[in-house]
Amino acid sequence: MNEDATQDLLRKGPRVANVGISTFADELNAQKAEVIQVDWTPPVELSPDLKTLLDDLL
Amino acid sequence: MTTLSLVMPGHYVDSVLLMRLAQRLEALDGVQQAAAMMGTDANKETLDQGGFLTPESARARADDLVVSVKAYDREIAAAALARVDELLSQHADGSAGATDVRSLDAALHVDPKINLVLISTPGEYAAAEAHHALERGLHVLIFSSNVSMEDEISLKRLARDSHLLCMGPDCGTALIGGVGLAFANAVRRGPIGIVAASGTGAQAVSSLLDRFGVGVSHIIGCGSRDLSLPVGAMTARAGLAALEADEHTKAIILLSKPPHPSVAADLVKLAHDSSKPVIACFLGDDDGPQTLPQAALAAAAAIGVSATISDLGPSPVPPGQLPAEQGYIRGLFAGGTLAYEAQLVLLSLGLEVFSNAPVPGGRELKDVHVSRGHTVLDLGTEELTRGRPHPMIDSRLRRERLLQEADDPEVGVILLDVVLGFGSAEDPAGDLIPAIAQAMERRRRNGTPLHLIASIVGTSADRQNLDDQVTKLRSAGVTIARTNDEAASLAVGCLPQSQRSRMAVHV
Repeated sequence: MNEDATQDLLRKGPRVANVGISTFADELNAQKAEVIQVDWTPPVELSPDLKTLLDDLL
Repeated sequence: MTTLSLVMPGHYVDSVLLMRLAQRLEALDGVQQAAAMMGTDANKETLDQGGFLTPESARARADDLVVSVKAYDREIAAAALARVDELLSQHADGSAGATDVRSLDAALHVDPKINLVLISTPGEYAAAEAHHALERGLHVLIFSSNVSMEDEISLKRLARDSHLLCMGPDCGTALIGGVGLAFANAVRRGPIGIVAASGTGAQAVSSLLDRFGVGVSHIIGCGSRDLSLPVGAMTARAGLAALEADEHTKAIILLSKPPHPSVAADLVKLAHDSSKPVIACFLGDDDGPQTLPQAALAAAAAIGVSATISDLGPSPVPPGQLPAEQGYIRGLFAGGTLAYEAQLVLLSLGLEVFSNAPVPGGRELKDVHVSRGHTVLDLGTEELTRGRPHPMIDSRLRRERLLQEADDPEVGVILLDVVLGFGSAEDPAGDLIPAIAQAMERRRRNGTPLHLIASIVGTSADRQNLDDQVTKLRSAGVTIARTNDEAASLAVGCLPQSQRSRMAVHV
């Protein structure tokens, strides 16, 4: 990324990936801004037993 | 009364949609109360406190959706829970559309020209998402709070070295090229650039500028800790440099609570060396503008626009003098900076003020749930927003607290802020009015006056419309001040004589 990345953002305006609260994407849509909603979910938490088992296997 | 719960394993729903689900369930016939939360330990504690926890929901895991309903009988509760899927899918209709994807990489595949990632995941996951985005050469705005200082420093170093903007963590407001991100107002475009470590502060100043007829080029948010010593204002420096280079920006406002002194000294030097006028407003600092309106007026003057507070309308009629036994002010704020500014005003007028987020010279409120003397609450703190959306979206906490304060016979004034704009509730004034009416009715029955004084952050172009919100609150008997500091001064002005003579001694 070059030093003009921030000026490029200010000049062209944001094209957004919205990771999380989906109403923020709705608001960007309402402003006719380019936005893609990323339907984020928490990473799967492995139980300690399963994690040990996977660590051994992989 | 029956309480029933539904646990949907591995079903993640964001906090705003959870709030809407609960509201839709409560709108069903026979449902008295509903709660919808992810099954974290903290949320289960909240459910327990509200009497919502059942044996099934007690076993839920952090990634399980928990929905609990209190209803008049078991059939009604069960029927309501049977509709959860349908009510959740109604939400999906309003979301961003057919291009929804499951990861940032998939989003970049759909649109390789994405240049900014807005992150509002729970705090513990936000740093990883932001790191991923910065590594792909994308600017980030991290709305999430509860990100560690170490992670913030590491993200901001990466951004600085890659010539990218890292706005946040805990950044509530930005406006880039006329597009509002997270909480922002519909303001006209123009020559004033704002670098802000204070989200509602930036909203208030940009809205006031708009009402003075002056537009805003960009608002670059920094996050609440950016001007601390460890972070060293990395984003504020990048923001100032960006606005310095931006051809549309003719004057700059730097807005924050007081930074660490050595950081402040560096920033003042940067401001001094800038080729454009820079108004540094460190609220509560002796140098520079003392209030948000003063910062807006100074910026207008810097581009040759002569504006005054009277451009916002006539002075409000002060509410009547309160009787001796009702000498306390309670401020219930959705905006953290507005709570901060209100405390500064009360302190400057000689009052002792308690708060859950005290300013220097203020007193810390030991139990956030019980006010003391003059209390100003920031209802958007981590402690109070656990498991629920910010009070600018979800008014429930403020409605409950408003009634609690009105039931305290020593309270004479309740101070409020109402924040409009993108991200905020559809009708923030309308959400408060049932509680305001109920509080006033209780006081009327007791024959004890209660003054409600509010100020509104917003513009006539905001979806909620400034004038409509003013009219609604005035009709409910609320005094509307033109600015937040004016609201705080009006509150002090109607205190009983006994309080005022104590103030004189204090001063």
